[in-house]
Amino acid sequence: MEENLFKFIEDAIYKITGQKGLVYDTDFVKDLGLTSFDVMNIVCVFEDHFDVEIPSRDVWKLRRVKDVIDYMIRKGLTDV
Amino acid sequence: MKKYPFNPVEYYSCFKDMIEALPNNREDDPAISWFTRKGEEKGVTLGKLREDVRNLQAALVHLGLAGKRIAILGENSYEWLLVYFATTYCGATAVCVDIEQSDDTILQMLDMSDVGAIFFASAVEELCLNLGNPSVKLFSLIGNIGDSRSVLDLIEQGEKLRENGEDVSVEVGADHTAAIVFTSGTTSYSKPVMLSHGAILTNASDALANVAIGKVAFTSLPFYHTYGLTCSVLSMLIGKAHLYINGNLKTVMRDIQLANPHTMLTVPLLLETIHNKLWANAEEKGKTQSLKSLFKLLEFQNKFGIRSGGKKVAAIREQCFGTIELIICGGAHMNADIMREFGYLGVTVLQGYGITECAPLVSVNRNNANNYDSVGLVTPNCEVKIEDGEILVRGKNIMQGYYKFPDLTKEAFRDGWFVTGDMGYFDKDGFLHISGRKKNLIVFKNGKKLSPEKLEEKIRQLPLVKEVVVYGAASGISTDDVQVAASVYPNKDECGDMSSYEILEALQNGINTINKELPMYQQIQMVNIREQEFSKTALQKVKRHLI
Repeated sequence: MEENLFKFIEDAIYKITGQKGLVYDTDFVKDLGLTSFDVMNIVCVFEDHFDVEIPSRDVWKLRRVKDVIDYMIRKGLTDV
Repeated sequence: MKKYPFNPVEYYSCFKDMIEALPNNREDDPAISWFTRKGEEKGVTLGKLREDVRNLQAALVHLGLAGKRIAILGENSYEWLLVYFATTYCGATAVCVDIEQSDDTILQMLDMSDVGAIFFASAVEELCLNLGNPSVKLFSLIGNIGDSRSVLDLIEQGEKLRENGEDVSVEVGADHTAAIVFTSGTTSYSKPVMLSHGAILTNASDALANVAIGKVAFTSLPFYHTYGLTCSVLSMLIGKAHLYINGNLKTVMRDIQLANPHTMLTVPLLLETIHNKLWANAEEKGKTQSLKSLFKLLEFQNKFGIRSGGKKVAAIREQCFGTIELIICGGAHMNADIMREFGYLGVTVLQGYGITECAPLVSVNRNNANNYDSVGLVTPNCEVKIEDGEILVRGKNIMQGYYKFPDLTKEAFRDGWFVTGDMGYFDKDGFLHISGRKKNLIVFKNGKKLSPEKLEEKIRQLPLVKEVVVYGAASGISTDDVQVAASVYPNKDECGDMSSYEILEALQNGINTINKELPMYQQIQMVNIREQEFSKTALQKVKRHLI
């Protein structure tokens, strides 16, 4: 399941930023240089796909790819 | 330089007067609108806004909350504004809290300001419902959360109270404290700034005396911040604009397109994002050189006072800005070259300068007197003087003090002038320029500020740390421009035989834990180890400028 989620995240980031080559520890700001706008645009892909609203307050806690995977599993957002 | 008279504008001494006067002969005009997540437009007229505020304030008075402090914890929404207006209308004080702060910081803010009630959004539901303080009344901003009654429930209750003739009138004057707003300072905690009705409303009208706005305005600035509330909400309402609100970065660009505004209030981050996209699009289409040539031509035409109305320019403007013609930008330094380029496209960007303690606006450029390298001309009810290079301010817009911090309040003033901690100067035409900062704040492009001392206190608690300095490191990879960095001098006794690599790894782990509790922009992105202690002054203060 984690691999599927990883692939989903990788696709979403590629779609918004054109960046590839993620690993579980990739940090969105430190490693990819994403701005808060980029991060929010990626979140929109998630919201549209799962038809949920992810509060901004939760978004800022998701620093790395693995944080997002943990969050998705916790919230039951695994049907990718 | 030619002196332009200030624009004529209405001034109000208290929120009750403003709310009552705004709809006069314009009850059916649109006041505030917004878009739902699915893009559906919602909105209220001026008449409906006044009626909702009257009803909500009636319920607050009935609940014994007149004169108390009422916290608002939520993202931008119509309900947020209603609570703010009803709170100030009934002589209570609105405590405006940024919910992207950590739980600990939010709890500290609530505790510091002795709140009697909290209106909260679902994002902070857990935090609020587990407060465990029965003397604090809890209400939800939107929808019913737990057992809490919502704003809508209270409006209905207030309507009935008024129908039944209950006396819900409260006397409020210009000197009453309308709001407590938190600001980063050189302390390890945020300081609660008390602003009176007179200060906030004078400042909102002063902004209009300098700037002529359009009929439709858009804002995505956070309301808990004075720039967002005073300049982007109150000024727009007083200036008779139809205001579109948004508080969600995810839908900002979509909502700008949907709202078709003439005027937008924002921070440098958004403008730099638009600018980056403009050039990225050109690069993608192999048109970078042609865009450069176009800007050269526009620059040349501009020197001779020719404003190009060509189709190409109109198409770029439409693509980047939709219908926007005027942008007011504040919160952090804005790049003058970007403002110039936008100007060539026919979009005026006016940069301003403000500080929470000044409610916030001190100066702003004017539609017909715009100096991109400056932060504009001082507003009518505000005075600025430069003393030893430092900007001092006094006037009707200045704060009453820091709530329950008389010593800090005393320190903030010098002979009746508020000491901003910013360095600056006036040019020969009277424009104010900012040249630096005396205090240690890190300023981000999204307009948010961070006191390094706040993070240093947390990092110092890590066992391997003897001394630490947090600073804003220039960054070339992000439009946010600065990243938070920490320079650590390790505690040799604790480190024992550890290698530098092992020390760095242990520090990084500790900092990762600290980062988990911080909003994204405040997270520490870089850590480095020092071989020597930091240079210090005679008073043992670290010489930060040497870092």
